[in-house]
Amino acid sequence: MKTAILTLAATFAAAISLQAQTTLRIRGSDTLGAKLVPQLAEAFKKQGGKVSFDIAAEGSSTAFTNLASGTAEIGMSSRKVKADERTLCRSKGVSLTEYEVAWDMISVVVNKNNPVSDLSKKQLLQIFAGDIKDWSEVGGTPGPISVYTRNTSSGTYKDFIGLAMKGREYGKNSQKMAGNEQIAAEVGSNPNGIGYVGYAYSGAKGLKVASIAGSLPNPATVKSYPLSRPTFLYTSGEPAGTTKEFIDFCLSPAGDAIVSKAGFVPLSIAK
Amino acid sequence: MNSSQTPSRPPLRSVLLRSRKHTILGFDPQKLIKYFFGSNASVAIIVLVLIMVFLMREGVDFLPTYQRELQTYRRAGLEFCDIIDQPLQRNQALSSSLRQALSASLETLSKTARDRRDAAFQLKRQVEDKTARPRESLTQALEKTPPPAPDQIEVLRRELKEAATSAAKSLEYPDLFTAAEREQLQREFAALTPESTDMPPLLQALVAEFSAKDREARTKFAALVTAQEEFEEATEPLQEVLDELKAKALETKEKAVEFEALETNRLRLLEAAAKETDAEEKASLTKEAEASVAEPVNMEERTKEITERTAELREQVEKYAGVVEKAAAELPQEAGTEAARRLINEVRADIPAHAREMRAAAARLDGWRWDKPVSIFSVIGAFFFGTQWITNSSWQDFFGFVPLLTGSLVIAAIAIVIATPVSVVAAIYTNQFASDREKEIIKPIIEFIQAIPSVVLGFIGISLVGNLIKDVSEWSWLQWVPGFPIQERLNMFNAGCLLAFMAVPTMFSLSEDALNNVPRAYIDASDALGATKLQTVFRVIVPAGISGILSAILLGLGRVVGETMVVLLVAGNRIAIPDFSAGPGVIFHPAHTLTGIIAQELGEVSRGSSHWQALFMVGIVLFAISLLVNWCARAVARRFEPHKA
Amino acid sequence: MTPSPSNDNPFAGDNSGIQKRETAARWALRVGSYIVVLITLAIMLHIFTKGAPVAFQSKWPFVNTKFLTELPATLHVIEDQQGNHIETDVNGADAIKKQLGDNFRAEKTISYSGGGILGPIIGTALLVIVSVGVALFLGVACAIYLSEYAKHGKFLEMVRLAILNLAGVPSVVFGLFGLGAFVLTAPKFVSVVAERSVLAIPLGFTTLSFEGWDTCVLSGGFTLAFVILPVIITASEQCLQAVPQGFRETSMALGATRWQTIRYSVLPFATPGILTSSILGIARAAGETAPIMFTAALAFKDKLPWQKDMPPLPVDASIFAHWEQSVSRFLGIFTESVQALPYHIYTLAAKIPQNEYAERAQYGSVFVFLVLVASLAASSVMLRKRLRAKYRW
Repeated sequence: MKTAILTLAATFAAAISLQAQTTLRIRGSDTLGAKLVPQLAEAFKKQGGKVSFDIAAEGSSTAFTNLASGTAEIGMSSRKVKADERTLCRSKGVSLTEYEVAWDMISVVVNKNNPVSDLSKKQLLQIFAGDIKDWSEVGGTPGPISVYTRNTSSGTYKDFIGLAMKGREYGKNSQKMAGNEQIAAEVGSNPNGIGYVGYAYSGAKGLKVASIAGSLPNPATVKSYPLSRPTFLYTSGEPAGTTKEFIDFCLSPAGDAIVSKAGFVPLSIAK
Repeated sequence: MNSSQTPSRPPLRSVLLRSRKHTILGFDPQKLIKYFFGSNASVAIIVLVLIMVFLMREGVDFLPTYQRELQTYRRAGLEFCDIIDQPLQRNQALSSSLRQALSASLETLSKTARDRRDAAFQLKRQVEDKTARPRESLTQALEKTPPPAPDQIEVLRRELKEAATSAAKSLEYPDLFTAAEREQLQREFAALTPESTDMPPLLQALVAEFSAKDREARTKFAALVTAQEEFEEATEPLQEVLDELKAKALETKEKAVEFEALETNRLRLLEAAAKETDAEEKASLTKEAEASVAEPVNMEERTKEITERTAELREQVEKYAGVVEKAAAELPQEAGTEAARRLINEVRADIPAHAREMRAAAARLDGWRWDKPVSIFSVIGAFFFGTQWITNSSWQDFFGFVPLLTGSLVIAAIAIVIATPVSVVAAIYTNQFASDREKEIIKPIIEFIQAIPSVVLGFIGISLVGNLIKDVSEWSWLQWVPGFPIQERLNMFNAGCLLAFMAVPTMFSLSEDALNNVPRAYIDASDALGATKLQTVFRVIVPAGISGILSAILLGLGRVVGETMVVLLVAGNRIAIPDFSAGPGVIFHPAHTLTGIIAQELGEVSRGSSHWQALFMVGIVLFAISLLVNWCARAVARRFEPHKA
Repeated sequence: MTPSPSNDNPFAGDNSGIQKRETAARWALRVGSYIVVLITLAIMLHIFTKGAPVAFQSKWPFVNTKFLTELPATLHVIEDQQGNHIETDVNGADAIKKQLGDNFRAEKTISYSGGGILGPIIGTALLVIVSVGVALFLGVACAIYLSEYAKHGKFLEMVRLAILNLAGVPSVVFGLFGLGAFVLTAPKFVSVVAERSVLAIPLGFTTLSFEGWDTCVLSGGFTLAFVILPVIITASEQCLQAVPQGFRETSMALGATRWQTIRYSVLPFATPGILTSSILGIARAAGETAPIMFTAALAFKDKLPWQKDMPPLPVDASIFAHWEQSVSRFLGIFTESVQALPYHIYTLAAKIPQNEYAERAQYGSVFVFLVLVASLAASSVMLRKRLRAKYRW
């Protein structure tokens, strides 16, 4: 009888501990969520983390809406949280904890047949704001410029405004694409296209990375490249249990290795 | 349950039918069954009403929310800045024209040099692409510590050399280079090693050649160069003042928004605390509420700081207008090419209007009042007639519905123009001419199209149709078509074609039904009069079935406007009113649509925000459009109905 | 048509202009119709040639079982110094890299392109089961009313108008409706009422709160049910109407009540037809993307809906405990968000690069999806034809 009770208690305890490691729901940035975080998750599971992942990547804004409504454990963001988002979370009783996971460099890409390979910062601004409309204005073959940007909820969309456009709006002629890969595909097939993608995506077919004011994105130059930015993971409150384990894994040397393999710059280099 | 037993003899009818009256809670079960089915029948009505209710519930607050936002936009002084900023955008367009004119002029002299330089670099990159693997191995070997044995490096060097030589040989050298130059290029490319950081001599020479030509061209068109620079720099002092004001206004706005959010939160928490019975919870809620405070913003004072500088701003505008007008007068008559001359003339003609506009804007500054209320009608106007859909902006979000509507309508028009003739022709042929065997092929295949999911067609649009249209547009003998060669493979025409394909089965089946419904007597009468088959078809049958065909087209239109996945994937997602000045070629431009914007943005916005509500407003409009189209289709079918014989 | 007098042979063709015009017009119409047919066939052929090699293989069992029985995963492509590409998944990558040693050159990863599409297939199946279950119940009941009970009048007219209009509502509007109605407001039993609840009715042991079901199979299934409702109603009504009036009259004449007539003399003959036409509804429900975008679908999920981390069964648990857990596990399937085939194809089309590896996943999924939907539609048409031959009255 006693043993029976003991086994029952033991299984019960085991059951509870098992239930505690259910699912990590991760929401947010496409830059992080289409490549880096799934790979971190797969590696985390492989090295023994008993957890299942549930990842949706529609843009950094979704990280905060989901954290605020409690439908995500971890939010991925390619930009710092905005004041109004922090307020939103605070109003729902969620205080955000921020972790820098990796650095990304926004690469400006043009078609590989485009003779233009260097743009000044001013030209870059003017192209994306729609002031420069023709490649001949920046020394290229005459032809109207097709500008591809990310969708509005993307952190890259917002970061680019801050880093390259001094807060100006994108021009009306810009096309809003669902993800980095779609921009890469369109620029790769349009000789007059220009767009920006995360550094991890700049190696796609038919693309050429343009240097900005003479500087090309490169892990070694992450500090001096004008369009470098940190990327973040956010949790609601202080993380605990599996969430904490996963975050710790991301920041560990093993995580760094995956970060650089996925085409980001690990903190150890960026710092 | 009780059988009705009366002391008197039961009526004959009930004996014959042996009807035993069952009742459930006093109701006749047959009635109950009937009501059960009847209530299920009303499900369709209920669902329609529910759709309306839920769309309204989420969307109806949009107008007040947007009104509040526009109010903040005005009170914080953002509108004030935009009075000057909006017309100033025109400067950029004019500068762009001037830059284009300049570069076209310079090209008359430097084009060959530039092409040679670009071609050489292109070739060099091709060689580098082709030799990437051996070069990488060599680089790695060179960087290794301790360095590998020299002979190993030598092997790698030789490999690279071989690869480079064969790559350089296999290149196609354009005619821009002479035979000697080609040979030299080939030699230089073959000698490329990872250590050499210097450009090969011929490339250097080509770069130098271009800069010399460019310098020469710039001296020749010096007047144009200076005019262009002057024109572009003219905005700077004005922009500086404006940027200062804008930063100030933005700060005010952000503070106001934060205050509002925290204040609503505080009230909500206090309300919850008032309801809470548990003392501990109550205390914690109250404490939380107390923490959620921000300083209220004195809009009046802050906007005053902005409006105080009106005079300075006006002065700058006046100065700017003067500079621009002077630049217009100094614009040279001469330019390198006809196109450049035309551009310059256009700019010259536009500048006075631009300067006038700027001055008018400056004059409006005085009339601007920070506390003028935003009426609900202007909000409705801003939504239904607004030409800007800007969201997640760092300046101000605008929800103007016109760019999306025009995108949807143009795409629908393209689809209908393509689908109508095809499906009506197919319907006439299958119904009147085809043999039974042909019918058995044509009908199922066309009806099969209906089963193809729209997302599959969207995928086909991205992976197949887009490239196909782009390739076709590059054929030289098709260059007379407006808009060819096209740039973006994702465009309205592409989406229109796929939507036409989707609409064909609906329109085909309904048109065929309409032709089928033409009374037999009409056809017999026509035959009896000795009409040929063709005459019977086009003068009797089609006119008699025209109501059905028209309503088929309208229902097809409804399907096309409401389709989501194809336009989301294929239309190109450019939120701007298509540039109709480009003529019929406009159909090859990208656009965004009503359905596409909902699918793209709804998943990403926080619930209850103005953006969320705006998307539900778009949903309400779509719902209304679908009801309207349905109503029209029915009305048309009734209006033209032939009098049945 | 009068034969021209100059012609000796009265049976020879008529060469007059009218005849020529007639033939020309006939040919123009024929060409016009065949263009549509040809385009359809071309698209099918394109998908088939690109997709079939992914779904099938030349060796036994001829079907690519890996593609059909695995969950989507990231594809790792490892390149060695000689330019050979090795494809593997996350578990195999390290071993291969170790094996290559110095020969290793680069590793590329392509999301969603490895593994198979089992997750999306299961998700779509679940959505279809829920939606068709709901739609059949409501739709057939509605059709019975329309065909057996309704008399001409205002109500009937309104119902018919509503069905027509419902059929025309854009699918993305259904998505908005599903989001508002099922995800955010549908009633459910909870112990703690969420803040967004519209209305909470305390029931003593639990609370019925209108706070929505969140994104899950149920929300998506109900939304889809209303999308296909008009299809089901129309098809069912046609089948009921096709049962000869004589059957009903005979039954009524024998003294059966209205319900008995329907139950024993109408439904048995209409049911096969209703079921076959409802397959069309399945095809439609399986193919819709916009309604499930905000109500059920997920871009990536590494588990099947029933693979949850549940506590293991106690060793000496009673039957009851076992039963309870099985039920909750079963119901849990419907409260999960799932991957669905159409949404998966959307993800594949918009979010991953276009190269030869991704193309395989893209065309493979499209091919399987199309085959599923098309075979459903085709079987519906075929069965209907056979039924028509069987029940010829």
